[in-house]
Amino acid sequence: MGNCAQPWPEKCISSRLPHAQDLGSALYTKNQPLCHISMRNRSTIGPMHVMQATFGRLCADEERGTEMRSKIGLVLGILAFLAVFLLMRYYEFDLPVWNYFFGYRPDPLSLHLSGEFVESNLGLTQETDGSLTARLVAQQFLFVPQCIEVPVGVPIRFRVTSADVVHVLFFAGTTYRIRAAPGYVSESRLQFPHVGTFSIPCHEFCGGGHYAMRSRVLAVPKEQFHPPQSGERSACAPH
Amino acid sequence: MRRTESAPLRTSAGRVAGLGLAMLTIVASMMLWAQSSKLTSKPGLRVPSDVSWTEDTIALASGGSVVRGLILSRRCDRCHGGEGFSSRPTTPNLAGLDRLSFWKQLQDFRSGKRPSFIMQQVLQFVLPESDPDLAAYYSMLPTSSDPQDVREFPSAAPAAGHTTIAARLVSLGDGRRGIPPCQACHGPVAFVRGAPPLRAQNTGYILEQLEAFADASRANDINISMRSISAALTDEERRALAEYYGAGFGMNSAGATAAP
Repeated sequence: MGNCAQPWPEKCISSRLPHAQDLGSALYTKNQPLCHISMRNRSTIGPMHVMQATFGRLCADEERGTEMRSKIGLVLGILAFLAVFLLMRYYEFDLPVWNYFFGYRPDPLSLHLSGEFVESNLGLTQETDGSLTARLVAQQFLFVPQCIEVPVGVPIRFRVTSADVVHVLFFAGTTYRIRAAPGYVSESRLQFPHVGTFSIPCHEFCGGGHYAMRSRVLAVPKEQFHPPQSGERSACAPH
Repeated sequence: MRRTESAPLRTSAGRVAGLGLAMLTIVASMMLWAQSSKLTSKPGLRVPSDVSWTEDTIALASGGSVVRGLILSRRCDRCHGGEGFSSRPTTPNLAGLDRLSFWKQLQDFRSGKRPSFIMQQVLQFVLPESDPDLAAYYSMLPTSSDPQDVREFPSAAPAAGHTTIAARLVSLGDGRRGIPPCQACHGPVAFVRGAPPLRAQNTGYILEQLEAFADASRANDINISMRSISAALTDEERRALAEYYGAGFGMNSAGATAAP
């Protein structure tokens, strides 16, 4: 193509648009591509002219403009796919695998002897940065402690393990469930939406007492909530 | 894009994608590395029992000799009866107790995790190696009735209304309070390691232990199980359960409808 001095070189642009037709783009008609906006019949400048001026390089040259737009579209598409794929992979694969190899693996038979889930360490506690952590042990046939008092609307980190078989804590009234497997610690950040009692029945058949297996979370307003002092673990009375 | 030959990294789009993949993977692994559980200072450690049910422990506790136990248990007759049934309501019957829970209670008496003045005195004169033998012997004793023996068990029938309360708790528990059915751990239906069978136990003893669990004066249950359950029960329910088992209604899974 020749060297065209004018900004919208009409005569530089060929009227045949093989790329546009290959792409099947509806933006292009045979003789009036989007980027080729003639000043011939217009007296004012409109948005199309602005676009053309902004993305001048994309529009000035039909063939390379199309190619460049396709490339950018391809790159954006790849990045979007990568973002979704990697996010999913992180939460579904990376985290569990890392936890499997490097996570804390308590021995279900000796939870009461040492480690994070000794009975003096169960219940709600406050970390150094002010966040709240609740530790529970699932066993046949109860969740210990049987009642946890939490403030409404504050994310609470729940860490649960099992002393014998697989149990699932289902937080009734929410969409949360935590699977407690022996030998692993399940961690989840939960937030309780309103004041009241959220029952925690067991949602994985664990034996003869499964159907009576239940704990509860008591969500209180933030003003009424007393965070446990340093070194203290708190749990409300069972009933 | 009419290139016929295209290696992924030769196109600029491919390079961007590769760079993005590498960066995101690096960021992901950094996030994983940064995840570590932050533990604040723990309160004073309290261990409920030194016993944990590893395979070695189970083999040790259940490997006793019945004959040795027969000889050694004669000194236990004074309180616990010659046939494993005591004549006093607050002294437990030892007949029919499974080896593991029997052995665990002896260890807890020795270590002080279960406070009992009399048992700690007595066990000073029993070698720890004899504990599995005693457990083996008492587990073999029958729990059928013997009119010639002076026994507290079975006691009189439960008070009015208590049978219903107790039967419901034994067979169904109470889901609202999270109380599991007694028979799922203690009963004829199923047994959990460490939970003794209650079918031939005295009323006074069961009531005493339930009350001790409720105010945590007895605290050798692993993972706060019995303390939670007993604290959730009312006084009347504890009495009802003690009378139910003490009258022999826990003998078989038919429960209240069957005589001992």
